This record gives sequence, structure tokens and C-alpha cells, in this order.
Amino acid sequence: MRRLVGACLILTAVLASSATAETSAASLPDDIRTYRPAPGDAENFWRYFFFWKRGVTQEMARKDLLECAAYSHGPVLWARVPERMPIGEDVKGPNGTEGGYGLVGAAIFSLVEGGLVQRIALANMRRCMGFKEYGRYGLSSALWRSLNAGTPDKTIDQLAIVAAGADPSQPKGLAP
Amino acid sequence: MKAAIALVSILMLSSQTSAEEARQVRQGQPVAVTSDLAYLLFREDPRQGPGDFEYVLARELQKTILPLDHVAAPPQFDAQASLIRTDARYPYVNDAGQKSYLLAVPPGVYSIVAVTYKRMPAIGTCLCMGTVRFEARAGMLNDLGYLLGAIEDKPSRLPELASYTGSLDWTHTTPALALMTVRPSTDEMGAPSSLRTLPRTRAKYAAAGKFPNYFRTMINRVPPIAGVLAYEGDRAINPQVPER
Repeated sequence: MRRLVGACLILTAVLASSATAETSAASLPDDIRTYRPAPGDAENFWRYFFFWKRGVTQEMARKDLLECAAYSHGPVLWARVPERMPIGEDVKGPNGTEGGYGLVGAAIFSLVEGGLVQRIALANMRRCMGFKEYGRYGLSSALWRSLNAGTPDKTIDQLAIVAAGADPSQPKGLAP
Repeated sequence: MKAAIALVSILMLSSQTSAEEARQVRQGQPVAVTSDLAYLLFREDPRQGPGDFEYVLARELQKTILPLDHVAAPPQFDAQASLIRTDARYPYVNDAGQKSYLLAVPPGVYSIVAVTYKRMPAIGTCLCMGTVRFEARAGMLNDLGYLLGAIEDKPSRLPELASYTGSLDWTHTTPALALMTVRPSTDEMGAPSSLRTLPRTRAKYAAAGKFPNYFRTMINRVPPIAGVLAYEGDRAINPQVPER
């Protein structure tokens, strides 16, 4: 129950901050790049992280992020075997090409507290970007929140800027 | 008398299986060749442990896996075809732990779209970022070789999957990320004696490209398989077909 309340409070804070204190995209890469993990930060790197890939363009990174967000969108804990495929008009296709991503950003990038459904979404995001050969790098919760604050569109833009930006100072990427 | 038994068997078969239905054949159930049916035989490697892995197959619209391109085409699923989930409870043969399974399915091209385990009432892990397809030929026993499953955060004793398992902790695999691969059929893999009268063909596998996460579940992909499936980044590749 405490976790649930915490999640609601944090989610509210994130939503509120998105309306009042959007982070400047131009200032992000340096903040992220120079981040050095503080003691205890690493325990939460499974959920607080960013992606980076050498040589990728912002445009490509944006496309990749959208596609992986689509793979992570709206997970169901005990997904039944459907009778037939394809199913569901709202399923996003590879390459993020089928329509906009709507609440994808809210569903993926505002995940601040655990729960199996959220873990699945995050695991899918990490895995998908890993298959696309992006490195994954940990962040503090504060930096992660600043990076993921804002509308889904803004968040995707920020993540793409970081992914295509300067080399991270962290020496090694994390496992997917 | 034998002819009468055979006739009854065929009648039973046709009453149970229409052209648009698939079923798993249990031990002792009749098996007969018909032109609107393909049999799929696959084995389980006992080294995979008490996994009880199950696989979900989906039929595609195309009738053959050929021609192959270097970059594997994504599956085009047949919306009229029912998905098939194998049932680990009912091997066709269980010879001292050496289990083989038999499915009777409408002929066509099938992709393996998901893997689950321990009879969970859920689809498990979607193989939607790269998988394999094969052709189920009518009137034949299509030998799929072995279907092999594992859980990523537990070490697997299967040589094909050992390097993909055991190294990730639970935060990376929660709630239970399964993966699977195939060990294609060879001449050395024997068929159950009761199936030896059926015309048999070794199923040829090919790579299948990524498809949407229709199941809204965990995602994964079949690891590379020599001569069958490779990856360039997140693109599934037919390694035997050169890039043009």
C-alpha cells in the first residue's frame, strides 16, 4: 500500500513538473554525460537509465525509441493466448509506423515505481533497445526524472538527443 | 479386419479435424495420412530439465517459405487460422523421459510466435523480435527436430541456449523471461516406430522478421541458429542468402 501511495505521489509530481518545469533539451546531454553514480544509485539502474549509441542520428534514435516504446506499450501480466492473429487495432507495429504513440510515453517513460506490469514494460524497452545495439547507462532518479519529464513527445525528443549525443562518461554500458 | 480398423481410424480422424483446425495427437490416438493435414513432430531434450515448455504456432498467409531474402520478411498472419499452443502434458511418445510430440495441423507456413512454460495460463514470452518459420507439408510427417526452451535467469544445460541464460538477474528478466530455439532435424533423429509408415520430410526452417507485440507481453527473439537465423542489429537475416 505504501508503495502504491508512493507511486501515486511521484506520478503526480512528475505530471505536475511536466506542466511547469520542462527541462531544456539543449542542456541535457552535458548533465547526463557527466553523471557519476552516487552510492546506492546502481540498485535502481534497472529503471533509471538512458540509451546511447555511437554514430546514431537523433532522427534514427527517435524512430528506434518509438518502435521500442510500441513493443512495451500496455503490457498485460497474464496475457492469454488469443484465438487468432493479428489482434487489436491499437497494436503498434514495428518501426512505430502505425499511427502516433499516444500514451506510450506516459506508459513507458513515467514509470517510477515497481509492479510487475511496469517491470515488463521496462524490460521490453531495455531489451528492444539492446537488440538495436544501444548501450544502456544508469542515472540518478533526479536526473532520470528531469530527462523523462514533459509530454511524451518532448520526452522522446530528449531521449533521442541524449542517445545521439556526446559519449557518456560512464565507462561501460549495463546489461539489457 | 486390419482394413476395417484403418477405415475406422480415418473416419475418427476426419470427424475430429477439419481443414481449419489443429490438434495435438496424444499417445495411442490414430494417425493417418490425408491431403488436408500435415503432421508436425518435435522432440524435447531431457537436458532442459523439468521445463514443460510450450510453444505457440501461428499460420501465415503464404504457402511456401520460398523465395528467401537476405532480410527476413515479417510474418503475414492468416487471420482465419487459430493459434496453436502445444501441450506439454501430452507427449505422443514418452520413452523413459525421451519425449516426442505430434500435432495435426492444416498445411501451410507456420511461425513460432511465443514460448511459455509450466503450463501457465498465459502466452509467456513473445518471440516478436525475430523467430523462425517452417513449411508444414500436406500428407507428410514434418520433422521439426527439437524445440528447446529455457528461462533466462536460470542456467540451461542445452548447448544452444547455455550462453543466453544464467547471467541476468531477476530485475532484468522479471517476471520470467523465456526463450527458445530449434535444433533442426537430422537423419540421425529417429521417428517413433508407430509413425515410420508415414512419408517423412525434414522441415526446413527460415528466419522470420519482427512483428508487433500483439500479446502485450514480454518480448524476446530466437537466438541465432547456424545456417537458419542471424541478426544484423535488430533485423532478422537469412544467413544462407547473400545480400544483394
